[in-house]
Amino acid sequence: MAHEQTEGNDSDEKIIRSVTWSAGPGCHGGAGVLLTVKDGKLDQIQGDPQHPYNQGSLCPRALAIKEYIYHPERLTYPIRRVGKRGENHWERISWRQAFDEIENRMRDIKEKYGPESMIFVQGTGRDVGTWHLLLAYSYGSPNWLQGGLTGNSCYHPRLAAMKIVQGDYAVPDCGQFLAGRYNDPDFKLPKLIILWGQNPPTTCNDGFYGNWIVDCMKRGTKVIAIDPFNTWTASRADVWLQIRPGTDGALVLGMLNVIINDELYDKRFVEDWCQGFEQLKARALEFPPEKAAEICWIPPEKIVTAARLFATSKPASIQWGVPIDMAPEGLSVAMGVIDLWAITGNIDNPGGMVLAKPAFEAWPYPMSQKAVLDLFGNVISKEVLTEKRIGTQDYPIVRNFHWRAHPDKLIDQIFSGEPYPLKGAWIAGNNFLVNGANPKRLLQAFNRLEFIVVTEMFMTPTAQAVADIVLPGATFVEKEGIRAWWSPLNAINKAISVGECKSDGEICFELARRLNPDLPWKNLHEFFDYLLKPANITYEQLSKEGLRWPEKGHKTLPYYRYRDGKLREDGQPGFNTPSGKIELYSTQMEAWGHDPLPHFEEPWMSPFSTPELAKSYPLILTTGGRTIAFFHSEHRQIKSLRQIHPFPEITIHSETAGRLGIAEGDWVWVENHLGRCKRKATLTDRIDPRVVTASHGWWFPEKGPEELFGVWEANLNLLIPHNTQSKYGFGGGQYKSLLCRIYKAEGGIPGILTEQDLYG
Amino acid sequence: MDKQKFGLLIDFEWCTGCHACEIAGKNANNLTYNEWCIKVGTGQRKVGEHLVYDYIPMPTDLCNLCARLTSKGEQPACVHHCPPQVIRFGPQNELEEALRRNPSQKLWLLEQK
Repeated sequence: MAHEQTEGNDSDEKIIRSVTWSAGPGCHGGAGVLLTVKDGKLDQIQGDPQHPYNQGSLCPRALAIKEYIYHPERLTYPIRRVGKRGENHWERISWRQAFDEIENRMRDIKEKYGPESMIFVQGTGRDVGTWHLLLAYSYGSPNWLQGGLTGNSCYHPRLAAMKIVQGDYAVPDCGQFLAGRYNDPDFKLPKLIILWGQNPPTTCNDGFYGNWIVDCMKRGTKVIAIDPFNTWTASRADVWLQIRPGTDGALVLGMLNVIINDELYDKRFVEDWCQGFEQLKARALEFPPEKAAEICWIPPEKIVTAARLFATSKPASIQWGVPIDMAPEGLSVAMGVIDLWAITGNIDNPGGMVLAKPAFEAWPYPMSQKAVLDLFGNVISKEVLTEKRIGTQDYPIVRNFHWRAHPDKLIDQIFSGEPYPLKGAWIAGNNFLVNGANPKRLLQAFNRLEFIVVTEMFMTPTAQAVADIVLPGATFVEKEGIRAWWSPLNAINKAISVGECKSDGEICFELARRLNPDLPWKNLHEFFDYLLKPANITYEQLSKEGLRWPEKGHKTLPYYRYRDGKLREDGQPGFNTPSGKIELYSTQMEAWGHDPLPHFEEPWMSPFSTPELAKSYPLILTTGGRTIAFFHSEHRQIKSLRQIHPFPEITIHSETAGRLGIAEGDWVWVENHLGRCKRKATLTDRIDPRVVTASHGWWFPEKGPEELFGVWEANLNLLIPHNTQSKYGFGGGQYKSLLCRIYKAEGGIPGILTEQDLYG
Repeated sequence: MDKQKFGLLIDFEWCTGCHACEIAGKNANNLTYNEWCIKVGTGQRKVGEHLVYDYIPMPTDLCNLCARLTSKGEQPACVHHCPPQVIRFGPQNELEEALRRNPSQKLWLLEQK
């Protein structure tokens, strides 16, 4: 497939083929796009009909990219703070000045305190990870992290669980690893998909195009939906399990109980490829469906029906979302879910859970300690990674599996200064004042740091409050890059420039080069070529081709690779685990002093664990349900997206609202013992009367920088405690299940966009 | 002689309410912020005992079936960009036949302008 610089109708017009990633739509990217450029400006974006990922379609955020790129509030040159943090006095500086000052301050910190005293902060899987690593490691710091997110509960608990139990990552097979997609002769349509805390129309999680699930549903795949809300998807499901938020661990054990008790598991597969079945069975027998039902608030016969339907549908898969990570002991819950697909033999089979590897094993976004060391082992030592990195002394999983600093321990360390002080921060793709639990504490913590650089596209509450220097970042349309999450391998091709904006790759490479004169790469293209070595292609070639699939039979393509010795280092058949089998009873967890089997724990704040609290705060609040309009805290200033989701809402059962004297559209306070915020009430009967749900990520660009863009007005994180991570360090965080009460507010939030502003 | 009408056939069983059609249409027709050539509405229907929640995109009077694109042999912008591919463009007789085969759809016929 050729990269076209085709001539359009006008001689000044050209069409660039590229692929999305952040910044812009914000997301984990992957959609093929055609970018029409006229006179150096982006004239239009279209979905690329030839790209196998999205086959011509696009989401509203990608379609609104022009509004984003040319927004009047877009940051287009570097600025430096004048006066105190948060005062909103900035002066423009040149890139040269910015790089010089950043280099000097970073060298200063390194000399006085050591490079580990500078931290490198990102959010979710935007295209910043590799660049942060390049910079952090060239500088000598192992402390790269997902700032503000308790327990690193963003896919990582699930990744860790998959590595531990089965040795490799897996995703539901929707033909995404086959060039022919659904028509490929090797593909088999899944008979059934469980959607566990994931609603495909609203989000494409973790490198997976949400619409693939709908493609399968259209072709006849049945769905089991596990969701507190009766969504579009749940109303089309064969079984909808209206789960009490935070109790996924009980549900998975209840389902395992049914499948094992009824002997519906794949006996042959379990015998040949799993170890620890008897121990798993003993654990599951402690959780009959009646017990799970009582905990989860789901009728027991529905749990039985769902479990039986899953086990008897061949092939079947499970699409899971962040509520699994965020459940108490999320890693343990993830282990249970993996056991469900493992004991039914749905691993690396067509239409089941296909093992996911980046194309050619090129890791432009490394996702394991091994990948990180493979890439950067000549820049940072393993010892620094396993000894100095924050969290390695507290949590064996952080030490042995992970490659990031532990976000909760890190904030504690800012306050304590032990075992070493933290002095500086590099931040990109993170808005922790909006999205982190107990954000006022995060603000206090970061304000203790002497030097903070933020790369952003727009001024955010976080940048405004804590940055000393703000650098203008580039969107995906304005940058070169690579994407292989997972297959095929894609080039991100630069179409235009905007102002003085630079990509994270350009920014971090320049500083890495300054800080490490021995850096093995002379320029960014050389580094790209290095990342692409496993694919035996240069960036220049890939840029022209657009995308490249590994050849058939390559170990990064499916199926049944455990039979062929394609998974293990020693080339033997089996899985990439110590025993070579799927470890339903994990020997590694045992070695680390952790529970080798899945277990359930009640949420930290609930009618059962904190009954006294529940007397004052009787409603269960779940937060962060996704909306197609925004990506986390982004896009609030993009008018056509804000029109889709104009207000910070809370969704309440009509009966509950009636009892509280709340009508549709009323502004209400949402409150618990930790804090409160305002939301606009939406009434429905599609939720349990005891549960309320509200989206996250709300701030108000229209309110202006002096009041930090109204960051506290609708901020649910004021109700969410910090340091509620799992005892393993991974998982937990009370975003999905806490307690609150609701009462009518005197008025709304002053100064935010009204319906008149939005719809005219 | 009557000119053949063309239209959009919309399968509301599978519209996921993503609003891509709205923004694609605005882009293609250079509409202002408070103009829409297609707008997503909501609905619900009973399937047996069961209630199913729907989204239904509806063309407005600003829809011209993307004449600028279709005259070049391309699809209207909403058709091109819809992820579950629930919008189909074509001549009246073709779309009416498709509607007969699958009634969970809505047909919008527009005069050629």
